[in-house]
Formats: sequence, C-alpha cells, structure tokens
Amino acid sequence: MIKQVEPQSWSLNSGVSHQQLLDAMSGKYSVESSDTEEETVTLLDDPDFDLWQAGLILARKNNNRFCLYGEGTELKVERVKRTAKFWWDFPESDLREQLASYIDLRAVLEVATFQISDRHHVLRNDDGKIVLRVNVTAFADEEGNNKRLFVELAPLRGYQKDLKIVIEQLKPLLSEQLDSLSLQARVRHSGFAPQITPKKKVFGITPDETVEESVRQMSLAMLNVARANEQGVVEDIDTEFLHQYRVSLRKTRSLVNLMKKAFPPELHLRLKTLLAELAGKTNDLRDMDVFLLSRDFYQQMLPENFNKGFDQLFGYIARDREKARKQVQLSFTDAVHHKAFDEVMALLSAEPLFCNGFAKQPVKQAAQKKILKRYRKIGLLGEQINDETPDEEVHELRIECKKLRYMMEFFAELFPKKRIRDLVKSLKKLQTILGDFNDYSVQKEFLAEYGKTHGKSVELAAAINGLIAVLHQKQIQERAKVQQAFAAFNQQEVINEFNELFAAFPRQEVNA
Amino acid sequence: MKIVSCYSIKGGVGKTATSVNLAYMAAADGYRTLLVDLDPQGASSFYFRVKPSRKQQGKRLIDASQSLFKQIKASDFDNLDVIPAHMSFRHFDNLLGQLKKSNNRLRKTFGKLSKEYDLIVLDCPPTISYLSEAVFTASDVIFVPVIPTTLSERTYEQLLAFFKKNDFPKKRIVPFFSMVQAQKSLHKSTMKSMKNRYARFLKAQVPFSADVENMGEHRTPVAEFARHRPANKAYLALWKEMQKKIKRS
Repeated sequence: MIKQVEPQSWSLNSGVSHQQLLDAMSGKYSVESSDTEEETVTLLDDPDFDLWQAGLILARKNNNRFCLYGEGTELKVERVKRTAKFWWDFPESDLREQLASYIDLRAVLEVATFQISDRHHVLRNDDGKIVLRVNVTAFADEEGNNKRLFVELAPLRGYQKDLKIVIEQLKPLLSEQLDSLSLQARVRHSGFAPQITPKKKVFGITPDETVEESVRQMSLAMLNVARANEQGVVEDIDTEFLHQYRVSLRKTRSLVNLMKKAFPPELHLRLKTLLAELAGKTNDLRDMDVFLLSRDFYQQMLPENFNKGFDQLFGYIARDREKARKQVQLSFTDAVHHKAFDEVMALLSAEPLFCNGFAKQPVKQAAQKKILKRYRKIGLLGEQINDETPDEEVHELRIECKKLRYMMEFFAELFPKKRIRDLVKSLKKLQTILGDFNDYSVQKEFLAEYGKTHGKSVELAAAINGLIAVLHQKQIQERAKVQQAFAAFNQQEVINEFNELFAAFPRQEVNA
Repeated sequence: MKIVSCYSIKGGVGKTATSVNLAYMAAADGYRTLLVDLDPQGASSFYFRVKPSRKQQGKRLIDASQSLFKQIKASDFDNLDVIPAHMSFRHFDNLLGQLKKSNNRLRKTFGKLSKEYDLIVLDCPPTISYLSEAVFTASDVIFVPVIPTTLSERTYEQLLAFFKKNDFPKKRIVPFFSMVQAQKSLHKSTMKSMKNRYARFLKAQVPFSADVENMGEHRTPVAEFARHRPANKAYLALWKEMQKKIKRS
C-alpha cells in the first residue's frame, strides 16, 4: 500500500443512531453508502482467559471460520469442526500453533456472542472527489440488544482538512477516541469484561502469625481452588480441571502432614483421611488422562508394525478413561463427596486450638526450621546414593525432595523472592531426573497391569511389551544421571544459601 | 521504481486519456503508482477530480521537492496517488532553463519517492521545451500516442529528429496508434507505412471512441463506467504491452 494517513477511531455516545451520524456528516459533503454487512461472532477462550490476558481474541464466525486476532495480526482458518475444543482439534495452521502455545491443554469455550454490522460510507466534495472514508460498526449482544456504535474516519492523503471539518461536525455524538477499531478494542468498549481469577501464589500470611493459623488459612485457600475446579471435572471440559483439583488437594494434604504437629493428633488424622479420600477416587481417571495426553510420546517409541496393537491399547485406555470419568462424575455429584468436602472445610475454618507450643510458634521461624531439617535429610540421603543403591532409596530421595520443594513454595512469600526462586531452580533440576525415573517405573507397572487385564490379542501384548522395554531403557538412563544430578545440587554455594536463608536464628542475633 | 511519461509534440492525440487509464490499470495490478500532471491545462487532474492546494508554489518544484510532495493527493482508487497540475508549473521551463544540468533534476526529485512508489507516470504538456527535455532524461520509457494521419506522422518524425540531434536515447520512445478510425483509408494506409518504417510501434491501438470522450463527463477512468466496451479493452491490451516494456526498461 502507498502512504496512508492514520485513521481516527471513536466510540459514539450510547443511544446515537446510524442515521443521526449520517445526518451530521452531510451538508458540506454528499454521502455514498454501502449495504450493511452483518455477522455473528462468538468469542472463545479457555477457562483462565489465557487468550484475552495475552491480548488475543479467538472468534468463531459464520461457516465454521475461525480468526485469531492479535495486536495488528489476524490468523484465519476455515472448515473447523463446530465441536473444536482443543488446539489439536483445529486444522494444521499458524492459528493452531499460536493457540497451542497459549492454551496448552486447556479447552476453549464460548464466552460471548456479538452481532456485528458494518457499513462503509464515502464523503465526496463538490467535485465529486472522495475526501473521507467512514466505516461504521455496530456491536450488539446475541439478542440484538445493548447496541453500541463505533466509527472509523479514514482521511485520504491531501484531504486531512476535511477530516478536521467532519470531526467538528460530529463532536456532539463522539464519546471516546480509541487507538484502533480492532476487534479487541470494540469488544472491550462494548462492556465485555471477563472475570479473571489472578494466578498469584500468595496466601497473605505474615512472618509472625502462628503456625496453626497460617496452616489453616493456607489449606482453606488451596481447598477453595480444588472446589472451584470440581464443576469443570463434572462437565469434562478439559483435563486441567481434574489436574488442578488434584494438585490443590495434594498440596493441602502435604501441608497438613508436614505441619501435623500444628493440630491435635485426632484432628490431623481426620484431615488426612478425608483429604486422601477426596483425592483417591480420581486416581484412575488422572492416570488415563496422562496416558492419553502422551499418545504421541508413546507412539514414537514403537516401530510402525506395532501400530495395530498400539491403537488397540489406546482404544482400551480411552474406553477405560470414559468409565473412570463417569465414576468420578457420579461421586462428585454425590452427597457423600460434598459432605466430606464440607467437613474438611469446617474443620479447618474452626478457631485455632493451639494444642501445643509448635502451633503457637511464629510461622516463619517454624518454616525455617522445618525446611532446614528437610534439606539436611536430603543431604544425608543423597550422599549415600551411587549407581548400585537400590531403587527404593532413590524413591525415598525423590519424596524428600518433593516435600522440600512444597515447603519452600508454601512459605515462599515469607522470604526474599529471588533467593527462594534460585534455590527452587537448583532443586528442580534434580527433581526432574528423579521424577522421570519414577514416572517410567509407574508407567511400566501400569502397562504390565493393563496387559494382564485386557484380552489376549497378540498385537496388544506386543505393543505393551515393546513400550515396557523402551520405558525400562529410559528408566535406566535416568537412573544413571541421579548421582551426578545430586552432586550438582549438593554444591557448597547451594548449601551455604540454604543454611543462611533458613537459619532460624541469624548469626548476628546470636552474637548479640 | 520506474518513471514513464506520455508525451506528444502535438496536442489532442489522446495523451491524457492514456496517462489516466495507464495509471489506473497499473494501480489495479498492484503497482504503487503516482500520476504527475505536468500539463498546466490539468486534464488528468480533472479526470481524477483533484485540485492543487492553494498555498503551494509550483515554481519551487526543482529546489524544494518537499513542497512538491506535499501536493500529493490520494485518488479514489487504491494504490493510486496524483500530483495535480498547477498553473505555476509553467514556470518550470524558465527555471530549468536557468539551472545547470537541469535535465537531471526531475529524475533526482522523483527518485526520492522510490520507496513509496513502484511507478511514476508523467503526463506532459504538448511542447518541446526545457521541461520536456527533463522528462526525456527522467523517463525509463516514453509512450507516444500517434494518430495515423499525415500531420501526426510528421510530428513523430520531428520528435525522432530532436532525439537524434540532442543525443537522447531513441530506444526509450515507444509509439502506439491512438484515436484510430479503422474505416478511414487514410488511417489504414498511414498505419501500414509507419509500421513498416518503425518497428517500435506497439501492437495494441486505441480506437477513436465516444467512451474515451465521455471520460470528461464521468470524470473517471474508462474502466469505471465502460468496463466491457472496446475502448477499455484496447487500453487493457495497451497496458499489458506497456507493462512488458516497463519491466524490460
């Protein structure tokens, strides 16, 4: 395009009609108008509004066309299934890739529908020369109510004076000048404001409040997250609802167990039992989800002639997943489940009991002590591990690392952000290797069990055994990395930082 | 960026109609095009309904290209801008006459627009002057409409002689027949003899047509009001041939 003059965009005062706008522009100019183009546009986003938060809009238009609008960019894809929900449901395209990077495993759902009508006008001067192009767009909701008009005034090079004249004429009708008439801008100014729950991982605890108060407060916060995800699990929107549900419960359980002395023994036992119950019934479903999500990962482990058995295997898993999902759905809609959930919440919401000195300790001090204790235990365990150490001890190290990681993350807000982040980072590397090592072993067991219970097809058995063999190799490879990974974590710099950051009584105080 | 001109020593040969339709078709084919109306009569400006801004002084064209570029106006069509004619453009000639190496100035001036446009079309006044010499130097191709009559043949020969005398590259001249009336025997015989003598003539020819004359009434290129008529088809064929010449220049 040749050099264009920047157009000006405005929202119009509410109640202003298209005709009023046209009347205000005529007089000095003659107005020529196009027909009105109408379109129904449905916006989609994932449950966290990840697209909206990134400044993107995914719109479904007539004839199953989808558009992804970004800052000055527009990606299109056609012939999309109406049921498309995940990025992998979209035809291969740039749009699909963008979507994948923003929504990952989440599903996109309809969040709003607008009726948009566009009409283009040109204003001509006495010579019949076009001096200004005027694009009017009207936004209304699904039922055609709450109409809002926007206007874009695009002057032609050499005719900017006419723009000034027209703006002067329109002034009483104009509301707010916008940067552009992008879909984002118009949607925003049409009153669309999604409710976004911030992803902040802050509990709002203070260093000096008591252990029991903090643990109760933190547990309740995490349980609320779990509860907020239940409905998504019931509706089977995407696998992330269950994942979030389980992560929140697992963390709560972990916190309650790691800080168990904050509660009387019988209360701790009750909490532990209830939390295990709430999470336990979702184990099967999550196992199947993880397998199905990693289909590509498994597929590339086997040569093509294993495809038949492989497809059988995943067919079975998909079927079993559906069974497991129905069970979870049943239990989540059952009164027993809600009663158990209510009970945990009630127990944790009750007034603190302060049954012992630990419960009354300032939480920061208690957290420091606990973290340091966990850390030292890892040191002792890790130093004994070599290539001959039995797998059980490696698993024990993994569990200890996980506990330490949770503790550091639970209480992160009580410590300097960057220092905690760096320590977590050094721990993460070790955890990844230990985690993979464990995952391969769990997957091996899962598949072996599956082989026993699912038919006698030769192809299926071949695929399962093939996968087990590859997983076993992978597990051996990870195992070989453990000793070195621990050594990398166990370096003097990290040791010093742990000792310094979590020393319950900083040196200067001792000296004083 | 290429600079082409429509030029003829003789007036009323369809020069402006060619400039207007050529610029329009180039723009429609995606060339970012600027039509410069150098003819003080302002016919091509009239066809595109643009007028010069009052404040600008055309006599500053050569030394102050910025003030010239401020005269650029968007046409009603995508990719097509126009610098309208200005009565004071008539001063160019004096000015160019006074300047040393003035023939290069026009090319240099428009060269500054090379990032903005792919094609500049100069619609020239029908004279031989300092301005036309500057146009000959500036243009990659000079399209010359020729009515197939004895008088036009003579002016074409005069142009060739002028090029030879002043050492302008003759191969830039690309003639074509304009306002052709096929039923006239004089037109037929003139075309035959001129084609024999000058191999450079384009194959496409523009017929004498009421549609071309009606451009004045419609004030827009032929394609906008007579898309399927012979005149427009002729311009389209002409543009296709011109396009090849422009690419090769």
